[in-house]
Amino acid sequence: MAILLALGSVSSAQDAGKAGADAKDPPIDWSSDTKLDWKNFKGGKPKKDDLDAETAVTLAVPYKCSAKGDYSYDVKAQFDPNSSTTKGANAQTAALLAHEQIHFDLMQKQAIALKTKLEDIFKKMCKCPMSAADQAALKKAVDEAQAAALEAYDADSQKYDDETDHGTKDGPQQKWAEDTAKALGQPAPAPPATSDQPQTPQSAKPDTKCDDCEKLEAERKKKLAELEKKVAPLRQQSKALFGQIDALETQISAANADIEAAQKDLADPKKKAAAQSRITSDNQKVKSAQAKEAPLKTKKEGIDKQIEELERQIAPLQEPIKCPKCQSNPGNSSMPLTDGFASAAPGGPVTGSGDNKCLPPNRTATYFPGTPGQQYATLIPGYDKPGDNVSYSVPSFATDSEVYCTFGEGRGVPGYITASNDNGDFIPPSVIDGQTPGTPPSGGPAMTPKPSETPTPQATEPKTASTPQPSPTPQETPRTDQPSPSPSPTKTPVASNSDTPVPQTSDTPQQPTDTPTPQVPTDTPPVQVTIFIKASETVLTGGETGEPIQGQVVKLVMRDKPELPTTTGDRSLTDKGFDKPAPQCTTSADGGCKIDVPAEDRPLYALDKTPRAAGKPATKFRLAVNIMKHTGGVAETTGKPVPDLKDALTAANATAEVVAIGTRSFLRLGFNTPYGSTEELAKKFSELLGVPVEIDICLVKEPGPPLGSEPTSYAAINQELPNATIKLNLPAKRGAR
Amino acid sequence: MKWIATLLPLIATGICASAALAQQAMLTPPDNHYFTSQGSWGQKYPDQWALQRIGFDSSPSSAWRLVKRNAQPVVVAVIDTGLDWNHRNIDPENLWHNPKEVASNGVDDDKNGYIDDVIGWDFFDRDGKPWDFDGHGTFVAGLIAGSWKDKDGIAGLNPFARLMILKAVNNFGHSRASYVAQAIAYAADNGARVINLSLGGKEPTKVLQTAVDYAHSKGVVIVVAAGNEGADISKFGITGSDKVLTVATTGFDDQRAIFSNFGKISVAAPGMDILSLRARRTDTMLGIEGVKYSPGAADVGADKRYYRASGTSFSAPMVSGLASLMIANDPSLTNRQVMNIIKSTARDVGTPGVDQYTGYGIIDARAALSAPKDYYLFAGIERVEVVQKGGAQAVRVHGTADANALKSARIDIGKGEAPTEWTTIGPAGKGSGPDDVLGDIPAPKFSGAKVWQIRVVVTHANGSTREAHFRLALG
Repeated sequence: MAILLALGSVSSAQDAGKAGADAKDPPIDWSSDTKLDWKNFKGGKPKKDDLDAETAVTLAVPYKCSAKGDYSYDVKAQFDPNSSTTKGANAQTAALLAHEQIHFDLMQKQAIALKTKLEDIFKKMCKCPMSAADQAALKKAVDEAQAAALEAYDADSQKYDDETDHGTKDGPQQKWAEDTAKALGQPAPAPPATSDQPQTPQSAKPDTKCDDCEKLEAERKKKLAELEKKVAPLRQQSKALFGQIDALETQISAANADIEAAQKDLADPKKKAAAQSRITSDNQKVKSAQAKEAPLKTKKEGIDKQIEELERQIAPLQEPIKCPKCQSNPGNSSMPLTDGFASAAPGGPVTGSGDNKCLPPNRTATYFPGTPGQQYATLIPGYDKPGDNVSYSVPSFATDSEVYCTFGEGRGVPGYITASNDNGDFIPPSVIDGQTPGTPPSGGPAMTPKPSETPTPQATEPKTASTPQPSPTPQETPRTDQPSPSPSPTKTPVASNSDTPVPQTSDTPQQPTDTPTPQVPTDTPPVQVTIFIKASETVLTGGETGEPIQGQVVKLVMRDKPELPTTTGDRSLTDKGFDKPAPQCTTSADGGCKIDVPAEDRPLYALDKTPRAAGKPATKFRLAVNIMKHTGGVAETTGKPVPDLKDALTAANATAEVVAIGTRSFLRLGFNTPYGSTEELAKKFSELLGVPVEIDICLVKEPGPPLGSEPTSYAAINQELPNATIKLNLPAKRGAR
Repeated sequence: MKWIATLLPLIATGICASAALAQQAMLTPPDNHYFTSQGSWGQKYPDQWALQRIGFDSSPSSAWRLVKRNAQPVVVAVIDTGLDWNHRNIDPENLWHNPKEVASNGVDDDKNGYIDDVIGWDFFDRDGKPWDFDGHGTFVAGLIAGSWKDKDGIAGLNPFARLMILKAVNNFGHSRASYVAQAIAYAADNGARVINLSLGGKEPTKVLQTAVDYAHSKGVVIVVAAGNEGADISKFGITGSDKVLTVATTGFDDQRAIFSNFGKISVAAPGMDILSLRARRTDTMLGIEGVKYSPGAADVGADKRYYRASGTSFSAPMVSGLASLMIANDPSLTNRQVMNIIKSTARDVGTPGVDQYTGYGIIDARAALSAPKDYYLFAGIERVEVVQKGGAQAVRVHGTADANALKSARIDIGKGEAPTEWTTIGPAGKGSGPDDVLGDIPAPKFSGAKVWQIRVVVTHANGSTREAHFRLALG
């Protein structure tokens, strides 16, 4: 009889690799085209006389996660020749070997399942930067996943032996063979012709290609290392230049904002002179910053091109060459991915299946903190046109994690805005001006234009409206906008002109149409606008993963809430807007969705000004983002001195707030960390506070399913009455009636 | 028979009540458009069928006619997603106005820790403008206090309600226990007599239980939705606590709605296809995981000011409305008295007796508003155990058998899932919970069948009865 011996709870990939390295023969990786042979059983005879063979299999999990968040890993079902035994030639039947092979196959099944789990683990836990603590946490997670897989294998394997009686029951054995082959995507095996005949050992096939292949692989590694060495300093330079450009952009934006503010003051005779002075000064600042910015941009573009070229060369070299097993060369590990891991020496390439890159230098963005639970989606310099799906990290998610029930890591939801017609199609700003209300423009380009299709900013001359309007719009203010072939991340200066028409509206918060504002502001463009949302996953403690988030609900909310009602006054003035749908959307598989805002609602959401260029909102608008599930804790601190938690809160990226209930007090903790670490942090703060910290659970509103859509499964169990089952010593004939 | 039994308190107290009522000017039922209309969205039942089902109709016996015209204002805290206070079906007079707070002066005038909290508080934005960007809170608020002055709109259940709007549920209908606890404490500290919680959460938490205990100790009636997962709430958080009224949903047939959670249910109220207010630019059914819903499908009316939805969220406000109306009618009622009356006067539905689906039954506003203030009549079997008694086995029954004027209580048993015949074992002892023994049933009494029902029948001095059943299987 055969018995399966799993190698136990191999605690890490390194250990697994070592187990193989210490043995005379390396472990054999599972392969669809390589089957076990009795000659692979090199561990001598079984220790127990009643066993015909022993098969030792395990899972090897080589991996690497760099400090920058790139990772590689693999999972291999392995057969250990040195621990696998056979009684001798008389026991070496084809049937028994086939039985043992399926044990090996069952481990491969677990390897496939584990690989899926590991992908999630690495995506979440291999981040940038990667501290020693993070490495330890990652190792723990990998070890646990590996142990779970081995346990699952043990259960499966035991069931297999039980049902087949260690391969002696032909019917069940054949069924297991078929099911296992199916699970591994292999053709169903034919039953062995005879189950008792000893197998004739096969002769090993010479492998003449092995050496050549290894040479090629070595060359690949060398070339890759050279290219990586070249590209690294260029990336650094690009990053530094981006920082300088970004700083100048900030200056330009600030100056432009001040110009807009000063323009409002031009209407006031007392402020006019000062306003003109500010505009002049700001224009100079803008010009100065732009002058500095131009050469930096040119330089950066050149460097980026070099990076691009090198990355083009690197890409095909990332994939390792998987050499066939060199049976004539025991020194070859015959484990391609383990080999890749082993060769991940400093400077060497790391092969694998993914990375969680640090924020690329040209992908940083600004977070505009709003009130708890809110984010301001706004202009992100340089990434403000449709198609620029910029995700950005959120430095502090404290407010959200206090409020929401979050899962996973924090999310950044950038929004960008452009005008659209009634069909949601993109409209260039040049088309918007002059449109009459409700008239969709004809021949507008697609909703998401390519960069080359992006419209140019407005002309430099004051625009004359094609139709008479009661007052000029801000867009009609004379500007010195400079046309460019694609939208520029900068705002161009506004000309100082004492004769500038005074806009009738301002950037001050607009009264929603639901409050007493009987007329739509006169500068409201006559078409709806559309806000495009792109939700992607970010990692709080490091860079983004860029994974799109599906099913995230995003709402456009009023920037300024209506005034509280009074018991006097005409309420009909505030009684509007019921004909409008909810301005919200739910992200689809690509993380995207859009919200259409009717023209008359635009002031309500601070969208009353026409974008100056595609994707550039004139003012900040406000999006609320639904973040499901949650991390957070709460502890009662009544009568207990609360220690200084400042350092601990900083270290844990957490917040704390006192909640009083009568004479009792509680401390609410917001954890800005991945969901999985909630319990760990709760434990940590329990120790610091000296009182238990419980998870601050999620509560949700309770509307039920709409009429007619109630799942019938709800009624599956009748529990109308409380009930119990008891045992009584009753006469034997009870129940005979 | 069930109907007669629950009306008995009315009969018993009818003489005194009539004498008192004759001297009082009583409310006249409203004539708002949606209250009197039917089929506004193609359905075959009245638009506000739920109110009518619990006794708030236009008939001469309408529950509203039991309410004094000069009843007192009562503060009802709605802890939810906020309110669209500009909806014309919400009268500013039906909003709580913090008497000690001056609006918009940036000062915490009443020194309660909240600046400019005039009608309530937004616990997320931390301001006094708890605007509703979701719609759920406005819907709930409309059920309780939709203004009768808006003749084109719906009729709220309690025209004397003063809504304290506490936004402790975010723009998507989510919150955390500590925020809701904070809001409960706020309500209790600032004069609310009733708190409506149309929220659900599965795990019990200390912070929430502390808040419930605190509010209860301050005399607040707390009403909680049972939840819509079709699940047993025995181990959930505050639902099922004896300090709250946990409300299940019933449908048009007066049976438990299929989604309504079960377990420690206090009472039930209609909650299917309920009509109430829509907060402008909201659609609260949108974006709920697992719920099939098309945008705008629930809007009602040409101007879309109204909305219809189902769920225990909307059964709870029926109970909150009734509780607050009882207090408006008699402000001296304690929270325990209100809870006792609402449960004791509920109309039994489904399997006879108190059960896990609808608790004491569907609330009955007529009976509740006319019951004596100290009235209660309870029956319940919490658990059984096998004991040795006099050298023989017996089944010991634990539970509740109590009334403010208890006439009698007895224990019966019957064979099968739905017994048609009952055998009286003997009188039941007075009890008020799982630790109290109602009586012992000798084991031989259970010969002849594998499944039995145990029943406790409690009779009030006024002749009313209440019963509870327990299914016993012999393993």
